[in-house]
Amino acid sequence: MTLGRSSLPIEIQKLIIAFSSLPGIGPKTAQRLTFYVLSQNTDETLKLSEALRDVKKNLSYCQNCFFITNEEGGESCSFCTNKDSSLICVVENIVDAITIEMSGIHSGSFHILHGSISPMNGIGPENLKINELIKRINNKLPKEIILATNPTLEGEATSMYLSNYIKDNYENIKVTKLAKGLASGTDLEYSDFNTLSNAFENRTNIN
Amino acid sequence: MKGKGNYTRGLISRCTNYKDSDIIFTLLSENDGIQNFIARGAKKPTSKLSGHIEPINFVEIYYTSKSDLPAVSQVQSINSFMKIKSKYNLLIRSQYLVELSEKFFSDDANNNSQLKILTETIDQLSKTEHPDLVIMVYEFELLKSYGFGLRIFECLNCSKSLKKSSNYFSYTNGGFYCESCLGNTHSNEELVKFSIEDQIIFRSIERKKYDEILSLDINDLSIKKLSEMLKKSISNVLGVQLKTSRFL
Repeated sequence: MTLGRSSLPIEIQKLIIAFSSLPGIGPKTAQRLTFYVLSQNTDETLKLSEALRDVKKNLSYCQNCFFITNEEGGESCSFCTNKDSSLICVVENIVDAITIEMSGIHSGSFHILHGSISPMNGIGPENLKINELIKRINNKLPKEIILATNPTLEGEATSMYLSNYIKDNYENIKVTKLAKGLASGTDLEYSDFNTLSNAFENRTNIN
Repeated sequence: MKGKGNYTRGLISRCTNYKDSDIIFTLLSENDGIQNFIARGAKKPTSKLSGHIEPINFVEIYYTSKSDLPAVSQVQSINSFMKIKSKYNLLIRSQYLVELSEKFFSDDANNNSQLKILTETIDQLSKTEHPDLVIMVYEFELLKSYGFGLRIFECLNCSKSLKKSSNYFSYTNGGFYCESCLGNTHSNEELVKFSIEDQIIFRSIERKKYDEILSLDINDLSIKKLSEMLKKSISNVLGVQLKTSRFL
């Protein structure tokens, strides 16, 4: 005879359902996590619940770059102040901005779109922070906008949409995008036509 | 079939990221209907699969079916439709065609002939000045091949040949009413008056070949009107609005 989940106390059932709603966590893992939380002492569990509550309560998006901030008002944040605002790097997600920031190769500011244009999923330009980017450009014209969207179909669509819009409406802004081509450590033999064609198109002079 | 695995060919319609580096993708295959596959590690930069697995890529894949979701071990791109992917408006239109085809294609049977028409149509998008006309031709043919062809020569009510004058299109019934049958239509039926010139476009699509249709001198307003009616007919057949249609 197996013990059905409905026979468990309602508090446990609620926590299992809450864990299951997280990405990559199925019912079994949710159940394991729930019983792990139950086995922990009260202090540890309270720390977790406080951290979860604080994340939602204290954090919001910066109204300039749309990075996460704990500063009230949110007109600008510690991530976008003291950065070269004439150079804006447009990325899809916060993680992309962190990755570029950690590499130290970009000294300018960021603009996070919070997604990419995906017609198949019904996501259009109006669902992203594109209008906010346009407002930002209108407030202070940057010298260059670097489109650093992912090299996926959705990322490319977003990049094309933005470059078309900026080229049509602003004459003096330089629009660039990250180079595409062969990744370090790959074999030419296994490269697809797309990658090879991009690599040839973006080849550089070395002499 | 070779060894423990299988080969199949088809057009990738959509991709979803799964776990850290896997991709689950849907293939409109030539012979096995619409299938889902998992490409493990495909998001890693050094993966042999990365680059090949992208929507609107016609690919040949080698896969094994050890679990419910067949795992891909080799992929070879046959046609990447690069010209389409380099222009925003063409990319959006090709995604519309793919979503439309997903709705009509059989889930578990041979879609070879329809897939061939789909890939030819996507290819045509990059070669024409009237991509919306190309889409209309595809929509028209798709409705016809699945038994929902529009009745453009006879009246929906009296079945008499339509006169060479203005007639009234009903997207709910997929065809035209002649002027004398207007009183016999349903009260909730929305009718749109079509001039003889607009009807000729539909008839040309029905009778003529691809190149001939594209060489017709058709104005953008007519294309827009006819295209809207076709899309309404399709929504009526499918019972749903396509997500991509609002981007066109």
